[in-house]
Amino acid sequence: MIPLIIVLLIVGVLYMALGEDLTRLARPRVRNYQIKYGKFVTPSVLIPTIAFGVLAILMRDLIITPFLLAVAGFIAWFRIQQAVKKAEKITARHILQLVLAFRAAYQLRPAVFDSLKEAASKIEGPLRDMANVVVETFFLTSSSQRAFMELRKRSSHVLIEQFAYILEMSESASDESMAEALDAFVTRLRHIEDLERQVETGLSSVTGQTSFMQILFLGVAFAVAIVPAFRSRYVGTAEDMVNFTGRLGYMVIMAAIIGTSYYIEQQVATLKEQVL
Amino acid sequence: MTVFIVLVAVVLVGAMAIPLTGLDYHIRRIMLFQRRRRAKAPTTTTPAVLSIFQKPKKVQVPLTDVRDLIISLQLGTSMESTLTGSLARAAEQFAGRGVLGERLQRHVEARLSISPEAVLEGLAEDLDCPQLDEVLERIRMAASGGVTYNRVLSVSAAAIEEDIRGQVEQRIQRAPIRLSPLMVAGVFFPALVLLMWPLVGSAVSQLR
Repeated sequence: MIPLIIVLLIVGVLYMALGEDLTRLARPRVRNYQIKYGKFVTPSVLIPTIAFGVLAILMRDLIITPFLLAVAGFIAWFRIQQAVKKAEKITARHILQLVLAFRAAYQLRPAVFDSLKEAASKIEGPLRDMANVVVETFFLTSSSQRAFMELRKRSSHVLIEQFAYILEMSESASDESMAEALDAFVTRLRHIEDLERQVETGLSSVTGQTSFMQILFLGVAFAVAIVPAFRSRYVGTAEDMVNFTGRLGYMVIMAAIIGTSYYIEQQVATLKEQVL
Repeated sequence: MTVFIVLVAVVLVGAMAIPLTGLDYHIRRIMLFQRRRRAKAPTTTTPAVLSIFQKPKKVQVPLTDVRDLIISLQLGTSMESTLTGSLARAAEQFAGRGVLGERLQRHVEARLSISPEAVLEGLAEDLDCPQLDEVLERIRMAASGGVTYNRVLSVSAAAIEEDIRGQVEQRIQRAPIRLSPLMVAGVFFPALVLLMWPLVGSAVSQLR
């Protein structure tokens, strides 16, 4: 108890000495992080983070509690990074939506940039911004070359390249050829989307098993933290606070479980990317 | 014990200070720089004298890349462009996209003036991809008359997609076999140990 009071006192003195300056320094950064990552803080980020936070409080140990808090921080960071990647990723599904909307508009009025503008208004995500930039560049510069260059600059996705190619060729090709090329492209995109879905469904058994195991492990970890007889084996009793073997064992087991979960998730993600 | 408390406090303060002082930005920049440096680092190659006696190795490329190439060619030919024009365009599109892009660009520069078939022939020689040989066969048949390039490429793209689908199914079937033992060993077993350790420990101490 006394070391804890000493630490709290040191923290208090430090806060009194530097608190105001630190707050001033940190506020804009915290605001930046809020703006940048706030929208990615979803239940899939919050639930495991809160679970590990609660676990850290329940363990109430000077070594294990900071360790579990660090794990909670790592999980939050990892999940947010996953969400950011997912939001930035352009999938075949997104491109298919754009191409379908474009084809519908182009059939009614065969003007590439007007149709693209209309198609962009019907989709969401990074592809919408990209399409809007292309349209705006064209209307500002009156150069289709410049407009498509902007599109290529923003993405190296081969399907987008192919779509840009169709749009570029529309200047020289007949309307029938254009319609035929768009139909063929839509068919290919549908096949790729089917493949994506097949992969998602096929790998759901692995991801499901992993989630089940993780929930089971969290249950066990909570049981250990709640039952005093179990907890004392890892953190020691009030009389015998020095139980390094127990603490080390607990941290090694935790690290092994979290490391394996992370590895499996990475493997599944790699498999998905390899396939698509 | 006090040393440990100080250590933990220092680690915690350090962990909080990194994002708040903007040090994380610099760390990320350093990591990015190192990653790029490693990517550019030259790989070991066989000495020139020995390479004379070696048969040139065929390079493996993802089938999805080959499918994308064929689709690009098919789009080109369907838009009233020639196969030569489509290949030149595809070389631009695939530039910087791995081995396939690099080889395609090289063959387009060297062989496109001969014929488009020569470019595909060069690719089929370089790459370990039987599907490319089939595409080349079909292209030759189309060149000798009867079928359009567009039709041939469409059939080829469909055939490659079927192959990819087969590969996907195989990989999906293999994934649980490969990952389940790891899951049991790395998640289930440690969780069991976490639960059993106190029980075993108390049983042992009672026996003493």
